[in-house]
Amino acid sequence: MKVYFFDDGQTGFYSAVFRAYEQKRENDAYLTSLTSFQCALGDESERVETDETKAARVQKSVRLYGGTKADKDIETAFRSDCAEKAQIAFLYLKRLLREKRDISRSFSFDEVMPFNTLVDKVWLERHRFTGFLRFEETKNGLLYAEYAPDNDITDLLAPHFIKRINLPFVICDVKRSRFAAWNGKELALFNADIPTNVLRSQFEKNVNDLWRGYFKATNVKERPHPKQQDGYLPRRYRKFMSEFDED
Amino acid sequence: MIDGERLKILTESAKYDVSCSSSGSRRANTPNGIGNASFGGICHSFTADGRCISLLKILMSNKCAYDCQYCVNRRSNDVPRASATPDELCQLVIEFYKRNYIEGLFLSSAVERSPDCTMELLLETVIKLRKQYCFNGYIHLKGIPNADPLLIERAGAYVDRMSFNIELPSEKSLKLLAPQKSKNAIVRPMRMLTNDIALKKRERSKFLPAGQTTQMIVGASPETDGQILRLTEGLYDAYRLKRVYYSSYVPVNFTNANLPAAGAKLLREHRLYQADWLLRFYGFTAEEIVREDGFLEEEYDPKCAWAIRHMDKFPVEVNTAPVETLVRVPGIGIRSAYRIREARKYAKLDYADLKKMRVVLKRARHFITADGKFYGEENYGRLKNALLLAEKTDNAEQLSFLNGAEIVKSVITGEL
Repeated sequence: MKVYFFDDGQTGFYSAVFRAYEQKRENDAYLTSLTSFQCALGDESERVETDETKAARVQKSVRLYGGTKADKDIETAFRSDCAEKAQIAFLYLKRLLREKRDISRSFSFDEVMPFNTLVDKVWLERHRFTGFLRFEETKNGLLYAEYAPDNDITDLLAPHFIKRINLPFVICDVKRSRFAAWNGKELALFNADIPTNVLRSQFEKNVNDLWRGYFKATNVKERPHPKQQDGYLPRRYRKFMSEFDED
Repeated sequence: MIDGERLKILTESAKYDVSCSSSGSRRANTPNGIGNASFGGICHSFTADGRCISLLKILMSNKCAYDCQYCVNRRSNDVPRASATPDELCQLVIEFYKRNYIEGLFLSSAVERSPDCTMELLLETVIKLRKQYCFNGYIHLKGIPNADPLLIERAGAYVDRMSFNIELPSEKSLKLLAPQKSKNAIVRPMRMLTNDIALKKRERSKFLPAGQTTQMIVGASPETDGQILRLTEGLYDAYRLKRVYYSSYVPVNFTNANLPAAGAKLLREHRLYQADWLLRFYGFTAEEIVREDGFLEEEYDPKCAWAIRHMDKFPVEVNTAPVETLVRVPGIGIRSAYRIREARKYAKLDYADLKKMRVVLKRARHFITADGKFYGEENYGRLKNALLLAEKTDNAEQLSFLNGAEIVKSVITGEL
């Protein structure tokens, strides 16, 4: 087996794919962006530099056979936190290049369901956080939200709120120090340090108490169903949702 | 802003309305407005009873002039009473929405003074919310039976969804248990809105984009599952309703001779919902699903029960069966049927392929062949046992609903 290490993200990935094909090692290649990946005894390995031109050639083929959807899906797949994502995407891409047609609905192919699941999970989490994200009003009237999603979804999530809230907001993924900031006109996506002392507006506690009261009052105590609750709203998300805070 | 105590009273009285859906509308935001509607709906939290919070579900008032015997807010019941003003509600919605607590408002009310007074207040609130507060999120408004049709119609232009609750599955039961309401007072506005929706659609103006729903209490009166499902079917056909909700009756009046002493089993509610799904998405009719005695089987889900009664129609070959047939296979849902339909265009499917495609075969294997091969149970008795077992492993969860000595304190339905 030959292990190809590359820079995380779609361009790095395409560069590595190019390299594997170039060396005719596509059939025993393993692609990963994790530097922590342990090669087995006897494995060869190579660190592939990102090369825009070569990546663009791979991308062109992906688009030719799978359309822009396949390219988009690969981009989305790289937002996943799955350790195997690069290899799953690589196997999918290989099959795509072999079949020379859109394979996204060839569900019985070995390579298709694992890849679709990877992409779906990212979108599912993004969908969930359109509901589970919680903004707080800061002293200067900004809406500020912290969260810690499994996947890198901040860039995908921000447009949802731009469409519905005509107020400046900041979304902060504390796990990745990734920010989406909207000032009412432009969206900025960047990495930065997590702010430590965000001051809340004077109404914040009052509104939040009403929300927590509502959350309690609307529960039907006589029909407890914690398993269903846990299934729909995983416990790891609750840290940033005030309705689950202890009183 | 409203205080916590009144908020508690007004939301506790509203929580027994089953519907919390925020789906079906694509309302867009306006330049200076706040909010939009997401077609698929969005859940914002989940309470310990496993239900989703999508909308702020609240009553304008729980001071009711009516005395419906099954209802927690009935006039003769000794509970704390409160009401809120349109502005208080609008402010609360905006503050909650901004923080992404909710998708919108589910507004209802007890009948305070008269139906017209109540409907006017509801209308005032939704108009205010849309025009003055520029709110473009989701609004589900409960209609008040016997209110002036003009008030009801006006509301339809501002909200996304409206619902009039059928309350009970027959006119006779309604007369007995909710004497101030009549079938006509509920169905008439429903029919009017159905016609309005069709008309406005042709004119391309916005009117109840998410349509109408309704709700009925199951188990407070003697109707069979068959009667309930035929009524449901009729409501879907005649009034184009988006959903019919059921809620299990839970007793609050032991002294009342008109009501059963025991609550309805939640399993029955669950089976009715499964049957409702078959009506809406799977091409079944009420007639097909219900057993000869008018009830649904408790042991199996309705599709499985139907299949057992129609073994002559099985097995079907997954590579050739039309989608309408595939979705009738127990265990194969809309998504699996879609995957099969797409995948078989490219390759012949065998049993291993189905597994790879994550088609759940626990039940389905008894009713299909894959590339001509059958992997199910041929002996009828053993087949029934296998299916019972499948049901048991599924249902361990749902049955835990039934630990309900405490349920007595509440009633699983509510206001209008």
